[in-house]
Amino acid sequence: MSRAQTEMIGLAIIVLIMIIGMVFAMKFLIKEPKILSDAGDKQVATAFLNTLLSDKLEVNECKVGVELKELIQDCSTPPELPNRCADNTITYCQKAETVIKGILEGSLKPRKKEYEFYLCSKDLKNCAPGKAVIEDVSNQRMCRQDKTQVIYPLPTEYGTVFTVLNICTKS
Amino acid sequence: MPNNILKQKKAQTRMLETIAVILIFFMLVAFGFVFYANMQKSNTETKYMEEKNAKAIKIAKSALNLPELQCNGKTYCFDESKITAFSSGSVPKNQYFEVFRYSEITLEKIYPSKGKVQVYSRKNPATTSKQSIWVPVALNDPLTGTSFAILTVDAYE
Repeated sequence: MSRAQTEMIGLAIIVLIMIIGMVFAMKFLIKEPKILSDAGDKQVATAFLNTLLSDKLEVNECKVGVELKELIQDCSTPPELPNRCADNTITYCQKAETVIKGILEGSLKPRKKEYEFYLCSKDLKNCAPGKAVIEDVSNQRMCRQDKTQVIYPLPTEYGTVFTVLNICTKS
Repeated sequence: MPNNILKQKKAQTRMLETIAVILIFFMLVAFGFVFYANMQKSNTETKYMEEKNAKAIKIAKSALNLPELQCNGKTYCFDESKITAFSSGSVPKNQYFEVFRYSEITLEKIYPSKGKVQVYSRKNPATTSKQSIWVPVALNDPLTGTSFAILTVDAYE
């Protein structure tokens, strides 16, 4: 075997070692999704909507005995039939927006969870920025990475109201 | 130049070549080892964090499913009167050490009123390292209605 051939074999071995190294590195660099963290976000989002729509969560400053769930359902009512709070200044749906934003700011924001909350009527396609009846986004840049989404539909007389909570997954 | 000196120079060059190749090879091997060690370290840290997290989740689930605290047949819901009785000390906390271990469990009311209730507290005298998790819950009072609250579990190692 001539010297040139030996050197070629040497070079081929080095390239082979580097390829094996690269494959090995890629195996570790492509991280598996963090199942625990995702499960945590899903649980938080589910629990949040579950609690938000729970029975007897009353908004007495709007009307004695009226539940937040009822205020939310009113967001699908046609504008000519609005239910107004006792002081007759704002509608049920407007009050629901104030209460939900307050709860989101008091619960998710201090715990550094980025979120998108949408409440839309009739079609889930309306649960998007600019289309939703109620919209609250913690960061205007929105969820840049993946998000954990939970949807709760609420049937009403005038169609279904969808509450959507997206919790942004940190990269 | 005499022939034997020329041969010596050629041999020295080849020796240098071999040494360079061996050096590069060992550098590659060392680089691979460092890379692998770093990966293993971060994997171990992740597993450790997950285990700590799992411990806190287990305590939170135990609290959420404890008949002494929960509402009748509802998930993510506590009965406020049971919480008041539990946190006031009328229930001996030592009985719950097997369930809650070294941890602190608090409920923070968000809406309609604000407030904080410590449900259980037993710090680990040996460490201050803890893992916290939280979950939104409903706090139900048969007389005054439901409150939106946050259950926080700080689990000590």
